[in-house]
Amino acid sequence: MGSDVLFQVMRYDPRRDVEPYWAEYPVAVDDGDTVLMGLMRIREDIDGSLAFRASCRSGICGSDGMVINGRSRLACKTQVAAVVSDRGRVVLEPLRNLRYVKDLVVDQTPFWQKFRRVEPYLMPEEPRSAAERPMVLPQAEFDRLSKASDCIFCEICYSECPINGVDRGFLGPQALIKAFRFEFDPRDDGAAARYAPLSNVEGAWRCRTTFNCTDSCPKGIPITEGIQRLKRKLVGELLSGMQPAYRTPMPVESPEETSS
Amino acid sequence: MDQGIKVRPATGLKRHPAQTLATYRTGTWAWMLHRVTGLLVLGYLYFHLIVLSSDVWMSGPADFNRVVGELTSPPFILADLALFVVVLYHALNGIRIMLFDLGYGIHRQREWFWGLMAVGALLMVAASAALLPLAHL
Repeated sequence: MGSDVLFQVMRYDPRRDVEPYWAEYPVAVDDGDTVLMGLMRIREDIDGSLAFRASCRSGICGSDGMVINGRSRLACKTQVAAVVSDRGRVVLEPLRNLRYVKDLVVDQTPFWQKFRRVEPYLMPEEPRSAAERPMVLPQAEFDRLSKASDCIFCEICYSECPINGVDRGFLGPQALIKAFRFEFDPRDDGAAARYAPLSNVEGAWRCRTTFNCTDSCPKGIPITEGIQRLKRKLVGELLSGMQPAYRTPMPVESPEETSS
Repeated sequence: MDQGIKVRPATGLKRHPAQTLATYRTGTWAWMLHRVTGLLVLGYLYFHLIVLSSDVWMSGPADFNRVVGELTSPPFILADLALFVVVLYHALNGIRIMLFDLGYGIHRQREWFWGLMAVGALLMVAASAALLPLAHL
């Protein structure tokens, strides 16, 4: 039946610990068990003080993003057998590029701030009641936006992006793919409002097409492609005189500054 | 707390979230090498302009010919080959980046990278065949 796998987990409580340390938990794992199931077993049977986020356990809520054996992944979508090392070990760390709160939990504040900055909602030309004008999206248009709509806000792209690692102000892949989702919606007329945060040294132009986001997205969203299409749209708006050239970076609080 | 839990010090852990080499894949290496080769080419440009235009060591046609003669000596031929690697990488990956900017090949970014690197390797073989005889190795 089950075999023992050693879960090597980064533990850190900034209020108590001087620095992070590794804790190793032997966990009995069955075939097909996910990393999240192992973590729940640790919390229920071995050490109740271990902190991690999780909710739906089926890759929909996007809560349990963490660094598993060096790569950011969803713990509920990653089977232990797929990542366990030859020495029977699984190494777990919190997501990168976000401040540690406790153990595997990170402070998501900058991620959500940046998401809101791109005004991620439909801005119709003239708000009318649904009865006057049904907001129908043709099937072909929906298919083009469907993948970008699949985002579950798990922050894995944000954690894997090396630009987010060196530049705390960069909007990040998730905010940009969400901007893409609305900028390319034929019912939307929010280009003017989104131009400032997007066409900016900390916006779409900061993307260096490293493809880490696309490679790591658990929902398979072609994020880099969306960001590149966004860039071409912004160039078009600039060249056609629709928009002025913006140069001022949007101020973003760094994760360090958002600590309570 | 006696179920086989072991605690050990923080080897390799930082007190703040950080990027590690584990995040590097094809696209990230391509970007990082593009940056490094770009800086090397920029550095070479300054070197090139200073060496060939400074009157500190050149005061006439004879001096110029002497300096150019030294620059075609075997060690500099080998340095030229190294420069060719750097320029070639930057140029070929630059093509890849421009294709992505124009919206082509973005779903085949790895294939484009390795394909262009193969082209670069062939061009390096040709450059070596042309330059190495001059180095009298």
